[in-house]
Amino acid sequence: MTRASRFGVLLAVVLGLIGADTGLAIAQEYPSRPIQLIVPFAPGGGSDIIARIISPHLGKLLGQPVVIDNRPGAGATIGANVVAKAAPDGYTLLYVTPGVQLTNPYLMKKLPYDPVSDFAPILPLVVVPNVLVVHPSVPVKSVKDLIELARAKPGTLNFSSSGIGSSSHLSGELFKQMTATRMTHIAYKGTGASLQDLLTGNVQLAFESLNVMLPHIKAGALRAIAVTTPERSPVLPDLPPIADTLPGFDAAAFNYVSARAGTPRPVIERLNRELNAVLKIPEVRDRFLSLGVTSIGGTPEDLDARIKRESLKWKRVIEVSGARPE
Amino acid sequence: MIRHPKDFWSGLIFMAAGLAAAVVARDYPMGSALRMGPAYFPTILGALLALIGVAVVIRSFVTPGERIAGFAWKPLAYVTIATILFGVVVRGGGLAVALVTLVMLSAWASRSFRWAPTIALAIGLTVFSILVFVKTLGLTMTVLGAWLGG
Amino acid sequence: MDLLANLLVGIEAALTPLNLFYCLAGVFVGTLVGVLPGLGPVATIAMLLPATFALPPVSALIMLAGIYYGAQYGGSTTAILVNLPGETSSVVTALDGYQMARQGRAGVALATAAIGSFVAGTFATIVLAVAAPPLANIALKFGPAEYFSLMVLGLVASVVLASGSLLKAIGMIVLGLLLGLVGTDVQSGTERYTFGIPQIADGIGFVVVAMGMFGLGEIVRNLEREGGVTLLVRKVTNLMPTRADVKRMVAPIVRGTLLGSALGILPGGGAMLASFASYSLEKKVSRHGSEFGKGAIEGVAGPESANNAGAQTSFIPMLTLGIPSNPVMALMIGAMIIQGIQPGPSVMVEQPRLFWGLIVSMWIGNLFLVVLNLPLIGLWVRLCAVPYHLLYPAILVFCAIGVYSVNNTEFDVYLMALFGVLGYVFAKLECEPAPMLLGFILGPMMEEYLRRALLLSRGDPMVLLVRPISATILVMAALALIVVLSPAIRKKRQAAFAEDL
Repeated sequence: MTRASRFGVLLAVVLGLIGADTGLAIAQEYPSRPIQLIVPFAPGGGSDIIARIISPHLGKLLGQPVVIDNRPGAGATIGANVVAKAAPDGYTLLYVTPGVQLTNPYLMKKLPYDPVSDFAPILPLVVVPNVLVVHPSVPVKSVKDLIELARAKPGTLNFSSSGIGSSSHLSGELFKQMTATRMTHIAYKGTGASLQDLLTGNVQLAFESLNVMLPHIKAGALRAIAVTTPERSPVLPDLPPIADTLPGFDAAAFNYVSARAGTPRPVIERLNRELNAVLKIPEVRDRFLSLGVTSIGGTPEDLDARIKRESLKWKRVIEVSGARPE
Repeated sequence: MIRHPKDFWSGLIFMAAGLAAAVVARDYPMGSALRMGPAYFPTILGALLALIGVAVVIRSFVTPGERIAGFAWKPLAYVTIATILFGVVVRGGGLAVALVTLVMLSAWASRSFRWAPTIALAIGLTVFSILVFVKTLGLTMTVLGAWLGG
Repeated sequence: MDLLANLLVGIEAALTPLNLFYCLAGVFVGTLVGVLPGLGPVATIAMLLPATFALPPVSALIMLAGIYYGAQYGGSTTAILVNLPGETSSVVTALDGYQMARQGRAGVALATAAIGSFVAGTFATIVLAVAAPPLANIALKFGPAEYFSLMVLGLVASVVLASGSLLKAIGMIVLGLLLGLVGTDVQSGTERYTFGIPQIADGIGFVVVAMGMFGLGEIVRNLEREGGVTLLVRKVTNLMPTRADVKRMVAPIVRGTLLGSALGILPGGGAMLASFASYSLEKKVSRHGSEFGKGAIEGVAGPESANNAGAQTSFIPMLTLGIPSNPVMALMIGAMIIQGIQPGPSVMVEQPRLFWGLIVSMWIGNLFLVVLNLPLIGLWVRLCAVPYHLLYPAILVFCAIGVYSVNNTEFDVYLMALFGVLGYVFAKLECEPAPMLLGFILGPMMEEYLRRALLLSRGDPMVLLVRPISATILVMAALALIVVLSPAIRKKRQAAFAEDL
């Protein structure tokens, strides 16, 4: 044998062994080794905190640790791409935020993955409601007042967001479209950065995360008008949904868990079952409540339907708003 | 004649970088001075940098200065390649392999390189890093990567 | 008196054995991650955040705060010893601190940083206790127009950082400004200069540029000099500052403390400017102006005090308004929310134990830092005596791990290698990296604020001059420009005269 062919045989044997090994691993009782949960944002952010609340419980139920791997960057695209290119064996899961499948496809020129066919839905996890707040100097007390003011003085109001394509931005665009009003969008790098101009009244209103706005609402620095979800929030039960005035208004950051497409059905079902169980644990529910997020739960099919529905909605909002950069 | 080579080349780099920035920025919407698009700032800065470059180049013909001492190619290459290899190896091979590669290769760049102390250093730094970064600070890095079946 | 009663509440909260322990743990971990280049307080606090779920809120925040200012402290150690600024604030400390270290005065530089930080920390803590709410209201006077003007002033001051050619320094600043614009434009969402690479869609990381330009570039330069004389550091003279040193550091510490305390109040990037501003100020007012960049003790004392004072007062907008001034403060707000505390104006009233306990713990933490670090100086200085051929692979290891861990991506490591080459080439051409780094930090903020100010004023540029604070800062910037440029003109004139003779 020549050296090259000997090497070829060796390679074939090694590859065969690896192949047999992964085949066995799937056939064996899942999971047999630690599971990676990719969070496509930096540690300490909203989605990271939620992921870190559920991961230890999920690990306990699965009998294998669930390790969080933060892969931030490019509006969740980098983390999503890791999962899109991973083996479809259920050991690499994605904490999915709206950017991955619902909005980035319409905001970005090209994505390194296919948003429709690269992921297998597992479980709808939580909704992070936004709240419509105005600076106290703005003379409005209800959604109706605000629409009237925006119509009486078109183009004078500003709304802030935590960035192009963020839930707070798209909530505002949806509001503008449903009310046919003109308001100027001012983008910031994150909610924290937008707070200052909002508190000083340089920017008049915002549709921002409920939990971040809560202390400012309670202190009277901002006036809460309504929530962006169709249901009231248990955190601020007195606040009506925007949908009461604008029927059908529903805008909130929807988070869920997915795996690589082609993951075996039994693995998906096992993960779905345990994640649903995690959402029912009292400690998890308490933490979610204190964060102002609403847990959902359900089947992979529920999730699939919701992804399709929301994707269509945001596609329309983004196209009409012209938010897609050139 | 070029009387100040250091300035001459600095100016040339400034000119090239400034022009490149301004040319690439033409792909982005310009906007106007009062409603700036994403191209506005980079175009102005690029033009400014190119102008500064021109001025520096012109000055290099007037004011004399030292010549540029020879480049230390060997250390530059070893340090750069060692760093890049760390990146190539760290995920697949794991932190231990990546660190040993980085230390051994970069140490080659020194004239005082000797095998025994460098190997000791590589092992020592690897153990220290695993203890501090992975065990104590909890960074998510594999010690021995998938290439080694870890 | 109210203040006394409040402080008593704080002392009671901070002096429990448990909280003392977490304060010590915080500053210890902070010093550790600060010393290790690349690994910053943001990553550390983020990773420790889930672990604080189980702690009582006061202890959790005391520890997290300790990590933050402990890291500021540790960062200067690396900047002085091996010319590696792991934080934006330690860039200027590296300028003169590293030169002092090379002259065998590392111990003096480290002691100066420690003393300056402690004085500044003490003063800023008092400011925090006495006047947090009224000062927070000043912060609210700053809108996009004011911040833009502040950035202009910072930029003018940054020219002073250069010790060589003024024209080339301005070129490096502009280059830095351009580099800072790489990434997604905040206002339009357009990706600029990313060439389709997702890893830089959010911009190039500061740590990547700093580690490459300073760290790697400096290693190659030292290896180049390795030739005949291998001794890199001259014999260590004394560890502690002499009486003459102390005399020279007093005024810079006082000015740095005041400047840092004032800038730290502004959440939109004030604290970040503190150390730069202090360095520029010291270089201009000092009688030893020509020593700057060559190991002037004022260049360490001023910026280190400013930096630590700013770090403390940047808690003011966070604690009293709920506005985070930097990613660390954003994480602290996250930690409070997880604990069920609503950060914002109500914290002072509803959580007096937390508010005052945190303030008192900051002073205790600063005390711990001095007690912890002064004895360590001897150990650090001995590090300088390690033969360089064994030291630099270790520096590379910490740079590589640090840069990799920020975003968990090997791409940043490649980028750091690239900036290393760039840093070496620029060093060869006598183009200084410090002004470039400042431009890199200020560039994106400046553009963002200007465009936002114009968007809010619907395209009226007068907004920058009509608003009194903004106008005042712009006038100061104009004056500063004259001061900055005048010596160059004078020097040129002198040179011209010299040629005539």
